[in-house]
Amino acid sequence: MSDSQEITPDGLIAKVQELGQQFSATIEPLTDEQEIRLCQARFLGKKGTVTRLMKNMGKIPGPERRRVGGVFNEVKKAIADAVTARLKAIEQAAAQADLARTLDVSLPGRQIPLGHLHLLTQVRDEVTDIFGELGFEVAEGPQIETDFHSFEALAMPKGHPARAMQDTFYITDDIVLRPHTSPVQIRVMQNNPPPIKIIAPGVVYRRDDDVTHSPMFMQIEGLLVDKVVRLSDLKGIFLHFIRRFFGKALEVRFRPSYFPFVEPGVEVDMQCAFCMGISADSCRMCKGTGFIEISGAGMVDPEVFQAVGYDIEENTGLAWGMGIERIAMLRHNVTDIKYYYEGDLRFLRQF
Amino acid sequence: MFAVWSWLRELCDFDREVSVDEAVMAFTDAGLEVEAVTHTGADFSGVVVAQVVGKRPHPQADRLTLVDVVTSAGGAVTEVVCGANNVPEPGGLVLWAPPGAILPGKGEMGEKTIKGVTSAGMLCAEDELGIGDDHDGIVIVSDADAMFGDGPLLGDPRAIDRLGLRDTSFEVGVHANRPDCLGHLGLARELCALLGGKVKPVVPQTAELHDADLHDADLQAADLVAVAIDDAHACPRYVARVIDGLTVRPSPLWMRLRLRAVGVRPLSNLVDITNYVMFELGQPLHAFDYNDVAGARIEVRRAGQGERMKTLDDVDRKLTVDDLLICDGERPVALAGVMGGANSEVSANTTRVLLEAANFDRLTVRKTARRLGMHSESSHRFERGVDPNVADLASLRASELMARFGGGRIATGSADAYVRRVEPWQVSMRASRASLLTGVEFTRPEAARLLGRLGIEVANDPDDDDRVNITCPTYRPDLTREVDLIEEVIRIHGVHNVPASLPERSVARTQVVDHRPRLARLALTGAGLNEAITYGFTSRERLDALNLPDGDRRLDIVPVKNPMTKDQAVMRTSLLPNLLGAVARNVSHGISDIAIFEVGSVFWARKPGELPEESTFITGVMTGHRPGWLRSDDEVDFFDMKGVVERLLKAVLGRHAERARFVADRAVTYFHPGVCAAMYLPGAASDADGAAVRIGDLGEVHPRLREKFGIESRCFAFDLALSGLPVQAPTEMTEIPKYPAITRDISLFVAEQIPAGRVRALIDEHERGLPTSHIEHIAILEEYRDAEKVPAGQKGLLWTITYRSSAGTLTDAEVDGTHENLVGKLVAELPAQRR
Repeated sequence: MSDSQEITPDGLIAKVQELGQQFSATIEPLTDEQEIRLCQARFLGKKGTVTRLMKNMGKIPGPERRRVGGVFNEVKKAIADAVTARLKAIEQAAAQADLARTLDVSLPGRQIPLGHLHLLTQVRDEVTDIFGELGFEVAEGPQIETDFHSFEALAMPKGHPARAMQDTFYITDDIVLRPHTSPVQIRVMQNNPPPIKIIAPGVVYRRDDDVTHSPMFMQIEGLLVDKVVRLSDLKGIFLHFIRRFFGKALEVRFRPSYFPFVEPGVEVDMQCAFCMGISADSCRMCKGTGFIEISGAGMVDPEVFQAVGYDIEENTGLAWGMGIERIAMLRHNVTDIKYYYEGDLRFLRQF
Repeated sequence: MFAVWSWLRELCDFDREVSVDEAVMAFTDAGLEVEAVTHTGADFSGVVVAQVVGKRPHPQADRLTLVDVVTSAGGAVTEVVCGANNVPEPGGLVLWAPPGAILPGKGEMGEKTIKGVTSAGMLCAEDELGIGDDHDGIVIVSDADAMFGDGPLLGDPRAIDRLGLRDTSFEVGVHANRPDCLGHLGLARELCALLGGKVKPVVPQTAELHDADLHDADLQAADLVAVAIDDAHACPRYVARVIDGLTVRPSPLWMRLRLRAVGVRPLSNLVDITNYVMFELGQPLHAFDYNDVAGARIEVRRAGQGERMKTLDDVDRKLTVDDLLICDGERPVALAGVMGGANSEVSANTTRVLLEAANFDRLTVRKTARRLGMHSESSHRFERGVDPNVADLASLRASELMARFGGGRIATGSADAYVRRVEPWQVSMRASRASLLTGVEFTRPEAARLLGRLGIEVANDPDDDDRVNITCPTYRPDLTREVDLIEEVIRIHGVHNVPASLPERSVARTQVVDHRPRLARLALTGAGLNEAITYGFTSRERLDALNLPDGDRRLDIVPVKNPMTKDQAVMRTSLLPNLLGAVARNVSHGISDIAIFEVGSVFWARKPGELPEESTFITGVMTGHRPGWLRSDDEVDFFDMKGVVERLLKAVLGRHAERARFVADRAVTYFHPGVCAAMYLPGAASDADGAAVRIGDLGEVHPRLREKFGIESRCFAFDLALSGLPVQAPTEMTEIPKYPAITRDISLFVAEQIPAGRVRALIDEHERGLPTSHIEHIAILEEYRDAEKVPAGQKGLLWTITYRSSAGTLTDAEVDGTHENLVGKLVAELPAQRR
């Protein structure tokens, strides 16, 4: 276009329509947003070709201006619409392309691997929770104990046949590694008036080392002291525990036993969770008896109450001690007690 | 305690058939757990008693004998080849397994040709019948070996049973409070109580004492022995009898079989009988050769300190005043209740026996037996308590058996020093108390009936219709209190019949729960560490490997007096050694990426006589590669371990964790001197200026230490006093910010040796100096040392500070002011250059 050329309304219209067609041809192959915007600017920007052409409007006689202006507006709108449409098309194509992506989802995830709580911690926590449902709260005591708390106060004076020397680790003549969690009973009763309702989970030590015995192992002691506590309550408490812990409607059986600090004393057996007592003859767990021993228990001996200054007529109590390894073994089929204490990751990571 | 079924049955009178299975079940239900039921003689059949009517050497083999046997007088003669060298002369009785008989391990007998002669079955040795382990010769029996029945064994179809060749034995677990069950009589009483029978007294046999054959009216025990007890406490009773004219020979077959079944090796009649009566009545006995007892005198006294005697196992024993001695007129002849002396034991030539049936104090015997390591069937019983009133019966019973099976006669009477008499005692029980304690309703008649089944004398209290009074026989020392009787009532009723109930009242909970261990465990497992539990004891060597400096608490070691192994010789004073042991163990199994921790007690000695201090620690170790295949497989380093610790502190301490300080420490002997931080917390949660408390340390495990455990790759560890971390009060909510924050960076060059912690400390100090601090968050973004960016000897640090006010939107101008002051302070005090 040159200034020497005469500006006519129709000529201007033709030119702007030509620019409109040029724009369509230019934008057609573009796929990049920035290029489209640049292209738009080349036509509609301050120095764009359409904008520059518009400056000739002044030379159009008044009566024709409306007609010519209308065409300009149509072209400009067409360009703007084309830009919008083009951009939308690109966006859609990109979205399409993105959806076409595939990933090998069978590759493993990116994670901080889950560490494992020790099986005994898990079992101890669960047992604590189950007895907690019945209102037993946790008490603790030292692992290195006095002879008094470990034996004397539990009706086992020095020389008592039930305290076999070979079973207990000694630090001095009067200080031992507690061979059971029962000293916690004594400490709790010494420091609190009745009623008492505690469980005492903890590490204990005995001189014993084979497939089912470890020189260190864990027990859970239970103690309930109140005005009316009965041997039948012990059975109810164990029924609750066994059924919650094993998730089966197992039965509990008592057999008389002897522990100096309870009278009557019982051995608590649970119905074999493996064979349910049905295929007992071939059951390796219960060895044909249909029942498995899980706890020594009984009614608190009056001598124990005397040792802690409780009235023996006013108070009745029940107590039990149970090996955590043992019930963990029964539920998780652990074949050797030593696995618990070796820190072998091949064991620890299983649970 | 092993029990023999035929022996038990001899002592019980039931008005019905009682099977072994029923008895086993009853014992077990009553708390006398039965294990290891053994049936002897169950594996053979068709074996008969045969009489030898002729014997001659095998023509082809010197060692073999051809024996002619008959199974009835004048019956058909059969020839059997026998390899034993004790084939009796014609007339002797043997056990013959004829063709068709079955022997354990040998199967069915047939006719077998041995070196040209056909043998019809075989003559049996004990082991071939499965009744013993003796293979020295064939079993020879005589009519005197019959336990019951009259008439000759030959031709009697019950001969095998009359000889006691078939029996059942089982082991009964007897609790320490039931010494009465350490003899068949006590077990028989129990069985009768449980199954409703009557105990047969052993006395019928003792009635034979009046048989002129067993009794010597001319010989008076009082003339032959005098007994003096010097210590009535240690020896309440001593009964001595004398049996004369004895011949030492093997015991009858049935007695040998029973002894073997209870675990005693038969020797000869006199010693066997003392053992037999001990297992029958629970009373240990000792037989002296009367001719070796000087001065016709027995004296029971304490040993002198350092006194010596040789026991019958030929060991010279050094004694103390705690030991009790049986002496004759001149010297010790036995260690009371434990073992006889070598100088007076019966021998093959013994003809006259002084039989001891004594009662000794439990603790005295226990002390001696323990100190000398001489646990015996005798000491086992005395330690649990023997009824002094059974001594005379046992003495009579054994004397009678000796006279009968040793061909002797018993001197009339006994020397019986009973210096501390035990009489039956009274105990009373309320039926209501039994009901209360068991949860089973007992009426008085029911309670009385159950106690009566024990053979105990029960009477209703005339003044209290709830109460029964019993007279307790002296063989039940476990029954002294009401609660002991309640135990018997429920035991005979059957504890398996106790119903299930739940406690009538609930008890309010009061304990404060310590959540720290749980929070710590969850934080660490969440960080990928696995929990291990190791022994509370360890070895000195492992603790020494920590190379701790003098004065360190972890050198206040608590040794175990009687450890099982060297590895368990002392209590651990740190969790680290056993945990490194676990790491080493995993490494040896080819596991190289390890992250484990333990929460556990450590023990530090206090003054002698005091209980050691026990603290809960949490300790972790990491080695190998960072987890995850998608990430770089770099080896873990100090900052992985530190991140774990920060996470742990955050979990336990919450907001307070930000106050933890990590300070380089070159003095921790088990960590690398350049890669170790001590951890501190301000003394009190509320007091920022309180003295900082050291809560633990973390670092790279000292290469020398890990080499001692055989760990090749770098290890990082932390060791933290969990019980030293303050328990946090419940967190109070901080209002969610309403106004926007402004962040400003600080980019500095500082000398290389200035730790980031120093910068942080100055920022904190600056913050504390402000009247109102708008600092919300401080973080380091980068530490860099690239030579092209940083001047030599320096490092670049990039920090970012977030400012925010809870009162309104901060303006740039407000923030710029304080921030510039802060930067100025850092530049001046570190010193530093702005980048």
